[in-house]
Amino acid sequence: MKLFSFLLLPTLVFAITGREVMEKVDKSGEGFVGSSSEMTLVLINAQGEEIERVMESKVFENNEEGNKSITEFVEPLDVKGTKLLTWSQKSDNNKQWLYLPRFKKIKKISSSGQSGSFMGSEFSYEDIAGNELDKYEYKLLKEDESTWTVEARPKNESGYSKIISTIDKKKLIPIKAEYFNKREELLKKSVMDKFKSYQVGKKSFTYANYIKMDNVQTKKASIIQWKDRKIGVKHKENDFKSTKLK
Amino acid sequence: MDDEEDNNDYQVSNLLRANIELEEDIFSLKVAGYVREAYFDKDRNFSNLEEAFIKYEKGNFTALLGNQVYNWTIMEVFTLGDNYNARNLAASSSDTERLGLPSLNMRYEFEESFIQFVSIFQTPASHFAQKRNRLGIQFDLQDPEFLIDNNETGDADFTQYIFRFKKFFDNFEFDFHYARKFDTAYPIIVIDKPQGVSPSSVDDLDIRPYYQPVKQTYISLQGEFWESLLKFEYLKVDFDNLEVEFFVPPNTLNQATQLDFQKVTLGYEKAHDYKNNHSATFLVEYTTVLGVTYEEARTLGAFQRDIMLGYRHNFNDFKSHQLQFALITDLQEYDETAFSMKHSMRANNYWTIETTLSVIETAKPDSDNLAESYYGLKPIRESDNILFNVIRFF
Repeated sequence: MKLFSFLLLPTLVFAITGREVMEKVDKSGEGFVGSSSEMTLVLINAQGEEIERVMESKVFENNEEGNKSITEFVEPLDVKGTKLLTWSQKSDNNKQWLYLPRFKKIKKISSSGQSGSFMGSEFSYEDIAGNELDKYEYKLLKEDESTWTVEARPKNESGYSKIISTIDKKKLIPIKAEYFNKREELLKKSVMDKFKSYQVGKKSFTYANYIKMDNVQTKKASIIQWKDRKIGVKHKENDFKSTKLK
Repeated sequence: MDDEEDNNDYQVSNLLRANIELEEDIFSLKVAGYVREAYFDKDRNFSNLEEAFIKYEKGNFTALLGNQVYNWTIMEVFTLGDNYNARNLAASSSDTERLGLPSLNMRYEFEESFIQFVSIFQTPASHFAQKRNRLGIQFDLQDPEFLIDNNETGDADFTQYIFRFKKFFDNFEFDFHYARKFDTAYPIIVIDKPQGVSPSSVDDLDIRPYYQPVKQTYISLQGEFWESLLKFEYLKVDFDNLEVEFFVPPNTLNQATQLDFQKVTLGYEKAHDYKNNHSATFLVEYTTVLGVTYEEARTLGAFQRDIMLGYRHNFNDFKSHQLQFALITDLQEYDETAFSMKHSMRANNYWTIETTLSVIETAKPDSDNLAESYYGLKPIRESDNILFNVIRFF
C-alpha cells in the first residue's frame, strides 16, 4: 500500500537542472573584462531612519581562478581610504585582505569572518564578494514562463544554509533571492532593480544597479546602488594584490 | 592618574591631521602628517610628517622616495615586525605614532612573491615622554644620541637598509626581513658623565637615551587553518655592542651596552558572527624573549613572557559602536597585568568619539634596587588612565 502511495505522488521533472540554470547565468556573465563604479550603501534601521556610506569598487575578471575586486571606502570619513581586496575562489573560501590607513597596515582576514556584516549593513562580506558557481549545490525548485527558482546550498563555510534565487530567463540574472540561516529559517530577502544593459565588444551584459536587502528578523534593511558603473574596463591584474592596497 | 602626587598627569590637546594624495599616470604623491598642540605640557607639542613621498609605479616595479612608515607586523599587540620607525613615545593617543623614515623603497613583484629593498637615508630619534608625562620614567630626558663607536656619537657612518622577501602560498604567507640600521626600539638609557662640578641633586644629572647599530632578522608566518588565523613572528636582534660610559652617583663611572636577544610571538585570531548581526573577533597572543635571562629580558621592554587575551565586538549598528577589551599578564612572575577597554562610536559622518580605560598593576619595585623601577611595566605602574578622544574629520 505504501508503495502505491509513493508512486501516486506527483513527480516534478524539469527539462533543465538547477546546476544547468546557474551555468547559464555564469556563462552569460563571462567576458565583462572588468568594471569600476561608485557605490552607495544605505542602512535603514527598524524605525526607518537612514544613513549612507559611499564606496568605490573595481573588479578584475579572472575566469580561471575567480574574480578579484577592490572596494575602497570613501564615506564615512573616519574609514576613508580603507580598502578591501577580495579574491573570489572557484571552490574554496574567498581570500580577503584589508588595508587600514590609520595603522598603515595590511591585514589578512580569516574566512570565518565573511558571514559578518559588511559595514554595519544587512549585506555580509560573502554577499559582496559574489558567488562562484562551484561553491554551491543546486536544485531547481520551480519554473514558469519567465523565471527559474533555484536553491543553492553552500559546500563551504557560509552564514547561510541555503539561498533561493529567482532567475530571469531573458536577462539570465537573479531578480530576487531569499537567504536562510543555519537553522533553515528565512533571514533576509533581496530584490534587484534598475537593470541596465552594457555592451562589451559584441556581447551584452545586464546588471541590476539597485539591490535592497531586507532582514525579516530584525526589520532592518540596506540598499546598494551603483553609480557611474563602467563595464569592460581593462584593469591590470597586478593591481589586485595585497601589496598594492597601500 | 598616578597615585603619586608629583606625577599627576592630565592633558588636553588639539591634533590636526592632514592627508593629500595626487596621482598622475605612473607617478603619485602622498603627504600625510599631523601637528599636536598640548595645553598643559608643552613637551607634548609635536609635529610629524609621517608620510611624504613620491611614488613611481610601472609594471611589477614600484619605487617610493621620501618619508615612509614600515609597519609589517601581523600581530595586534606584541608587534615584532613594526620597529623600523622611531616613535612619538610621549603621545597619549591610543594609536602608535610612527615617525616617517626618510628612505628609498623599491619593490619588484613576482607572481606570488615580491622582493623589497629599502635604503634608509637617516634614522630619526624617537620623541621621549618627559617627567610630567605618565608614560615616561619620571625624569626629564636629554635628546637621544646615536653611537658610532665606543663612547662616540654621531651620524651613521654605515649604509642603513632593509631587505625583504615575501611569499604567498595557497593557505599561508611567509615574510622575511634582514635589516642593517640604527635601532630605535631598544635604547640604552643612562646618566651622562657630569660636566664640571659634582652634581648635588638628581635634577643636575643628564639622563640620555643612546641608540646603536644593529643587524636584525625577522621572519613571520601566518595562515588560515580551521577558519582561524594562526600567526608566528620571530625577531633576532644583534647589536654592534658598542659601549657608552655612564655615571653612577655619587662618583663612579661605568660602561653599558645593549644585550643581543631574540623574540618569538605566537598569535591566534578567530572571527565570529552572532545571530543578531553583531560580530566579534577573539585574539590571543603570546610573546617570549629568548637568548637572555628573565631578569635581563626585563630591561628590554615592557613584555618578557606575556600573554594577551583580546576581544573586539562590533555592534554593526547605525553609530558603528565597537567595544574592545585586552588583558595582558606576565606568565613568569605573574606580577604585572595591564587591562584596557575601549569604546568607539561614530556620531555622524564627521565626528567619532573614543573612550579608553587603561589599568596597569605591577608589584611594588624593590626599594633597594632603583633600576627595577624602570623594568617591564613598572615605569608606568599605577598610571591608570582614561583617554577621551573626540575626532572631527574634514
